Amino acid sequence: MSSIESGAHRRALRTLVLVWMSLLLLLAATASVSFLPWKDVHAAINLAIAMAKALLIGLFFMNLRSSSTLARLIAAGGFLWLALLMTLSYLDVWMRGVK
Amino acid sequence: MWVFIATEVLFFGALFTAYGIYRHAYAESFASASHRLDFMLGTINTAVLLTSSFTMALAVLAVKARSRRATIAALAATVVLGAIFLGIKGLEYSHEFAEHLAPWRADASFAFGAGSAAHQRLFFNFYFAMTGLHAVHLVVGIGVVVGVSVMTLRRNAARVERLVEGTGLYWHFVDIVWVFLYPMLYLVGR
Repeated sequence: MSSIESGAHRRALRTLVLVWMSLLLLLAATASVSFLPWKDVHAAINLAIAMAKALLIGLFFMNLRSSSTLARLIAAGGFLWLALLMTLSYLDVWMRGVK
Repeated sequence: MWVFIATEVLFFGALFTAYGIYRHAYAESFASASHRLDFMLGTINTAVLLTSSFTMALAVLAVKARSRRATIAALAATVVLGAIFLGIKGLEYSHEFAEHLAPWRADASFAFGAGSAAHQRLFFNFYFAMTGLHAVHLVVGIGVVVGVSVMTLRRNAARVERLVEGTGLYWHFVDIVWVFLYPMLYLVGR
């Protein structure tokens, strides 16, 4: 392995370690939200933290950062359809006032 | 692999959507039911699974660097962490069975805290369906990682690179599902 390659390898390794530590920090954050006041916003904070974690895993562990456009498009598509499914379902429930 | 993952997103997504509707409608019952789950074990398990994703990412990095030994070590660590996760999950299930929290074992003692017993039972239906489905995915994942490790032992790293990468994508997806399940199930009303 040339020195340029091993340098890139070391940088990639460092990125993975940093992402892993960030994920554990976010987990600690979401677990400690329970001990904060403002009960009304806990669910929203926890959801935001979960999304941040998913984004970190997607971009760095699943390498979406450097994937082909096609792979990114399909990944985004999956979440787009899910977002549509959720939005329309919740809109339906909300508008009809289902109890 | 990405196409398969997109279909899996919608597979789990439908359950998530249905759960969200009931979680909103029966907020009080879902919160009191969620408090019966083991917050500590759930949190530890999340850390275990996040770490298994890290070792899986290390395996992909190692196979790209053509280091067979590091690849196998990282894959083995991933399998061990996945097994630990399943072990802890099994421990939780056994506690919940003993406490008659499983809907099919529910008896008169099922009702607890604020809310209605029927709605709390619904929470546990969701809990067992979603964590069970997730566990099945993890069992499959462990099997695939073991298989890929054996192939890495036999062939040179260049030939298994795409295999390790694809397996990694699946593993990380299963991790992401848990990243959402954890606050959805364990942190309700906390």
